[in-house]
Amino acid sequence: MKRIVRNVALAAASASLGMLAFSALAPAQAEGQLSLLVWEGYADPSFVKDFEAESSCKVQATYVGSNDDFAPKLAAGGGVYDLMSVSSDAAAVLVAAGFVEPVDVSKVPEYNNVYESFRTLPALNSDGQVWAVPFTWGANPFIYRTDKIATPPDTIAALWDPQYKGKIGMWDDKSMLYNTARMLGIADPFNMSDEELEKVKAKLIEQKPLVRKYWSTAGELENLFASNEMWISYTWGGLMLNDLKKQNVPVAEFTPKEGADGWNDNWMIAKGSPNIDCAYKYINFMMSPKGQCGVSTVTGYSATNPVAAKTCMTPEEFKAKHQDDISFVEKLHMWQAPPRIDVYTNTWNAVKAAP
Amino acid sequence: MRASTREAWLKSALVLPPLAWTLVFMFVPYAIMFTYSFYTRKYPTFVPDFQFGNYIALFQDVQYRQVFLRTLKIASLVSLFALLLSYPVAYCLVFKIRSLRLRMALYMAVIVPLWVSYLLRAYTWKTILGSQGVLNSFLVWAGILAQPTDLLLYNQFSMVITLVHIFIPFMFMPIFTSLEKIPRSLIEASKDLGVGRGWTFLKITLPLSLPGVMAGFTFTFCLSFGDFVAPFLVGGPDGFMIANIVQSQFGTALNWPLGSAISIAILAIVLTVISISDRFERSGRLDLG
Amino acid sequence: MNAISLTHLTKSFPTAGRVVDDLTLRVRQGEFITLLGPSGCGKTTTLRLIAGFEFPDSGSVSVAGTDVTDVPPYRRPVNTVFQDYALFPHMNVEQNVGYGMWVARLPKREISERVAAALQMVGLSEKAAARPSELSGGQKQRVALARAIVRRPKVLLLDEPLSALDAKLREAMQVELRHLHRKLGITFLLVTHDQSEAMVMSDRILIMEAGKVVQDGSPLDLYDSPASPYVADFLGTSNLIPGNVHATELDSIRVKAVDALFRVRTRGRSLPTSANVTLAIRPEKTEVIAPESSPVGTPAQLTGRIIEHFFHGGMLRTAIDIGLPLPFLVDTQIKSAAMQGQQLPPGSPCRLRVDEDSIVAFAGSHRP
Repeated sequence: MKRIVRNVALAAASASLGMLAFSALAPAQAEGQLSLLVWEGYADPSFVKDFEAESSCKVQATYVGSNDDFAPKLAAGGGVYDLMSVSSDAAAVLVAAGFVEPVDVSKVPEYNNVYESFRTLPALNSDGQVWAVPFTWGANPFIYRTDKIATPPDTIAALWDPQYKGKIGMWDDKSMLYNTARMLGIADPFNMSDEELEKVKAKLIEQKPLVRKYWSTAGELENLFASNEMWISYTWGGLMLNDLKKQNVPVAEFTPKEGADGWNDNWMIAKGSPNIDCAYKYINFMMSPKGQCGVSTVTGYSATNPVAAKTCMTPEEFKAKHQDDISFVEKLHMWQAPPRIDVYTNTWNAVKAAP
Repeated sequence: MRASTREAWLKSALVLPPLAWTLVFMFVPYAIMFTYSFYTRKYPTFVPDFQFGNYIALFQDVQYRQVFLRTLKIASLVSLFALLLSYPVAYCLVFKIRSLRLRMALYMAVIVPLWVSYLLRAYTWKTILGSQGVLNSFLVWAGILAQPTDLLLYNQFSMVITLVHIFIPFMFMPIFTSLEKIPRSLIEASKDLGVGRGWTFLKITLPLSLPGVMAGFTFTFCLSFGDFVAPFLVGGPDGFMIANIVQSQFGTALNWPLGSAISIAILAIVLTVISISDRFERSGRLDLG
Repeated sequence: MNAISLTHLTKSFPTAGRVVDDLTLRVRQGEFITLLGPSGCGKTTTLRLIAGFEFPDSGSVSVAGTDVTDVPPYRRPVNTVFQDYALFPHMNVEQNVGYGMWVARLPKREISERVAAALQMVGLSEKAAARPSELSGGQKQRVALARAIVRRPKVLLLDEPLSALDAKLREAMQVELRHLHRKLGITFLLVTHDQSEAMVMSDRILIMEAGKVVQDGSPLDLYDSPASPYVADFLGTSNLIPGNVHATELDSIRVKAVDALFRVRTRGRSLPTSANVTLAIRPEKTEVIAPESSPVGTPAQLTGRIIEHFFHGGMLRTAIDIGLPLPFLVDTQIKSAAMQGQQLPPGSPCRLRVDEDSIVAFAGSHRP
């Protein structure tokens, strides 16, 4: 009897560990069933329904909470996901690890209408191949509860303000190192020295007593704001703001004087995908006016295909989303892949591990 | 001769399925994990190797020590509170409730959370402890607090409460069983020999229920030591536990070798706890039959 | 002063109902008294009321002249030997025996002297360091006994103490308990369902039925003069035969039963003519005789047919069909080997000669 108790305890403990290793496994895909690994908002029923009707491909989406989620999910084995929406700074890892197929741009008619500055990003083009199709871009501003914070904040340092103790949110992602570095006046946040990283780490640890939660999904952040747990936080921009406004939560976004993070997301095809045809169909759909405006309406992000965007956006929207002014992108601090990515990851983990 | 061969064949046919099960679901994953723990991280993933760098990192990098100690603390607190809550309840059920039907009903009431999803139980605590939660609303309504406090959720306190609630059946069941197994005549004999309630509890009931306490403690400790969901759901910035590190090494960091080394370390700790409690029990092995 | 005095004691349980029913009992100092009865008769509950494990609904309990009705068990001058021995499994023999004195913080020297003396008394001195799990049943029994007498109680309560032992050991322990009782001089109260055990050991037996004492007396009294067919059948074996009073005499009656006429002493009972009675006839007070060898002048004779013989060592039990639903039993002492093989074979007709002096008549007809 006692021995059984022991064994069950051991099995339970090891099962919880084992699950971690196997959590990446998901059922293999059937043909015609397009499996997406995407950020929230990129497989919204509002436009996926149209796609499914016209393509006869079925869409099934899994959401990521960080750019760091793509590689581990793909590392667990091929044949599970067909198409991913990867930010440019995370693209190079997947190419280097051999997790993705090159894109045959001749099958993507709208490819040449994409802003050149996105199309030609070095991370998306290597070995004479095109690895990704850019389809959306945006800035990552901060948001705050207007009923709790009277004067609109204008600096990242507001997230270190003791008067918001216990109401501050940070994204559980190594990109928190970049904007903290910018706040500290570090010249190149993607190439920090060990001393600079130490400074950033110390600053983030100093902030810990003020932080309510390191959140990891859009839903989680929206919930924290709606339930009054959080007043000010880093965000992914439009999507979260739109959702919160729909719930009548009084929030507004602000772009700090240190500048905002910028990013663009791209379609990448998983190596060994059994649904290449459907994958190209989805890319083409997303690059068409239906897809470009569909995503933009749901998420508030900007489109990469101004030709398509012009046909489906109102002139005001077109302007508000900076579609007429690509130089806006130059002012954003576009995410890059830090060459010493392991050190960065380890530093962010050390921040979370600290007491 | 033929009969004995058949018997041997039958025996192995009986033993084989559980053996295969154990082999496939216990030893093979651990063997793989153990092998990985000697690999080297190399951008973008990792390469086969045989070196001890991952284990050395566990000792050199202060973050792992911090998290190990924190996990140890949380698991100990969870086990302690689960024990302090379970024991009196189990004691009352076994010794104070005379109606067998009522006793079983109350026993089921304590156990029934086991059939409620883990996530649901964790979310329940979120709605109780949140800034606009049930408890805060009550405290403000009762005039105990002027305004809602943030001190109830997203910290180690809320993690301990949630984990205690989730794992308390694993503490309660073995204690209940061990108390129920104590013959009533032993307690009567103690009183018969002139010993009052207090000493009877300390000298007879408590020592005889220790195997249950040890089993419950082992269960609760090992389960909460390996937990990674509570920190995620109700933990705050200081709630990172060792299983979260494993998760992040297998996930975002794409450093399976380090993740494996940490898992092996966790396994070692869990096995140590189990063998200590086993030895404890063996030394005081009781024949209640 | 009585060692135990129970006055109008009543105790009910929710499911079992009234288990002890208005029981009054006086036990003299130094007596060996036994509560005898089948399970459920209330004997164990009576013992538990004296020990203090249960408290009465009404009535009072006093031990050695002190009212202990509301006193918890740990403040009563009694000790108990439990049916399952109730030895503490996590303590060795010495610790078990010394447990009460050790918690009471008696001087160490005194404890060890008294423990040694008690163990010597039950002959277990060399097992002082053993754990209960290492002992045989008989040894556990002795430890339980030593533990109960070491505190020198006014009354020793024994709750079916020998029921878990095998027959041989049980007989040896019966003798030993009897010696111990004499040596210690304290009052023993034994609870048992085993009538032979009760008869071997007790000074006095109380037969209980449904929470009440139905007869109280020495083993011999009870055996010879059972107060009811229930007692007659419970203590030893009795053949219960329905009959009818044919005629009354000064201190005896003539009873017609089956096909025979018996002359039975009334023992003070009023049994008028033509009343229905039940006769209790002991198997060992009856003799099987061949039908043709019937001597003249012995009127009380039953006739029947041998069903079977059962060999019981020193005794032979014969079942005989006399035309009643149950067979009539006759016990015959086997005094010599020559006697064997002389019995009538099964199926043969026979006659029964009954010692009329031993017959007890009860009013009414009873179903055995």
